[in-house]
Amino acid sequence: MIRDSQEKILFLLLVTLVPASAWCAGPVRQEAIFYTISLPRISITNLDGTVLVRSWDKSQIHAGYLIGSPRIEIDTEQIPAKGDAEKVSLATHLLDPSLQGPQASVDYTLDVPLGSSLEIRNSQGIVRVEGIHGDAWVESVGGGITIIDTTGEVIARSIGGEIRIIHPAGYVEASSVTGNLELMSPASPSIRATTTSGRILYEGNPAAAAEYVMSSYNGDIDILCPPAASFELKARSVHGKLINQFPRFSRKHHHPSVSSYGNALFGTHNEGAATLEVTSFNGTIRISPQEQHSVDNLK
Amino acid sequence: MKEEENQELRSGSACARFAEDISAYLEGEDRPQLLSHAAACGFCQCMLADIQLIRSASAELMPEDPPLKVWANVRLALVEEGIIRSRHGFWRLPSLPSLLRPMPMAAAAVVVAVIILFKAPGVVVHPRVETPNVIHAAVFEQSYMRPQDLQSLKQTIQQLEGAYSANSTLLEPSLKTTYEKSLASLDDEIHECQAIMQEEPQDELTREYLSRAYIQKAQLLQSALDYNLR
Repeated sequence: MIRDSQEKILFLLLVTLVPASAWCAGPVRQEAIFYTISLPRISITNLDGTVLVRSWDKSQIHAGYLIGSPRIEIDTEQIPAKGDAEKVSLATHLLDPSLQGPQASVDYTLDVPLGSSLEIRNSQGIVRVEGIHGDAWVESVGGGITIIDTTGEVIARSIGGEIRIIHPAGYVEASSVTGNLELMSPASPSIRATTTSGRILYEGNPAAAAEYVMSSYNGDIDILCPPAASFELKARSVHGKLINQFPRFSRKHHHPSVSSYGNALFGTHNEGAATLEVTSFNGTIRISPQEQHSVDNLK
Repeated sequence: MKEEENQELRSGSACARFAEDISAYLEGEDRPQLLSHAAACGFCQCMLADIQLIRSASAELMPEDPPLKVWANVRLALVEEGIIRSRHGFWRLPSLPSLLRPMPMAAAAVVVAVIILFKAPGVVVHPRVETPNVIHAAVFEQSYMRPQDLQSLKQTIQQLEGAYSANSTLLEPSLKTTYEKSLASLDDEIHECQAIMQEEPQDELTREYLSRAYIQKAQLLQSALDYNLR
């Protein structure tokens, strides 16, 4: 009789505790609001998961976190500690360092003031930043980075992930080792993009007096500009091909087989208002007229 | 018997003890074992020399904000190792003395490497681009590196590679794959450029690619060590 009771109690404990523990181990959603000045600096340090940052017209940060495990906490700090924050830092803190995979992941969703400057480290997850007028510095190891409609300086670096920068208006620096780089419709005065084995795609109408420098080692580089684009081109691929599909390109020099520089093309399209400097060691460089499709479709 | 003592001095546990004792030693406490180990272990000897050099050099430096990434990485490493449990903000930087308190060996290596790279002659840092990642900014500004600078950078990379090899098993598999793939890509570039440079030493474009590949490799290893210490 006693043994029966013990077994029933054990059974009941199992029935109630196992689902409870499973529920406890699941993702947890949290939210926080920080009242800020209009141009705050925001730092996010995450290990895995998505970081999405969007601008809005309020002087406050609304932060939502989807936390993969209760053994993770979000360290937050604002400076100054009272009143409107000038700086806000959010950092994923693993209480259990053995956590891996989805359990070590936190998804951040932030609405931030338009003038915010960002500093984001997200080792393995995707980062997406939209509509920020301050500077954005983003770094990832394997995650992709997408930055859209920014007017400040953008520095994006991912070792293995793809970097897409769409409609930037400020200085842009993008680099990856094995990831692809996409630069869509920039209005930036200056762009520097470099990758070792990824592909670089530039598509847009270079701003007047702009200087865009793109360099790869093994990766191909594609330059797509509208027929009305005005730019001076300095392109060379040491061991790769150079394919120019612009029909009305006034070539200053074209050396298809000069050994020290490989295939090179130095020329002017229309007035040559902007400068495009494109270099690849082994990759193919293609310069083509831009097809008619909206950049919005690429977002 | 003497050989056994030497083996003991060069063992991994001796390196761990070295890491534990180094801050006390730097603060003036007597640590004869630490010096014995440093005399027998090339890596720790180099580490000790570097830290002493940094300490003496830093005393002569004018107060200046260091790159944010250095402090962020050190802080992150210490927090994640459980050595500090600070809720300080990212922008509140630690003092130099706190940097010299007990820290994991690889964290020290990261700091040393960053400083070596930052101070390396020929590495130009564009003052306009004030990013937290100073080395990264330098990559784009670097167009030419003298042979002696390349040599110095290669030595730094060797140190970083040693630290990476010792710690790479701790990396999460997917991250390790990303790092190894990227390292392989950079190594291919380095080997190809080196081969070309041997035939055409005056090829400046190849030298430019080679310099950049070395710097990127140093950054990559540094990044992997940063992550390892999270």
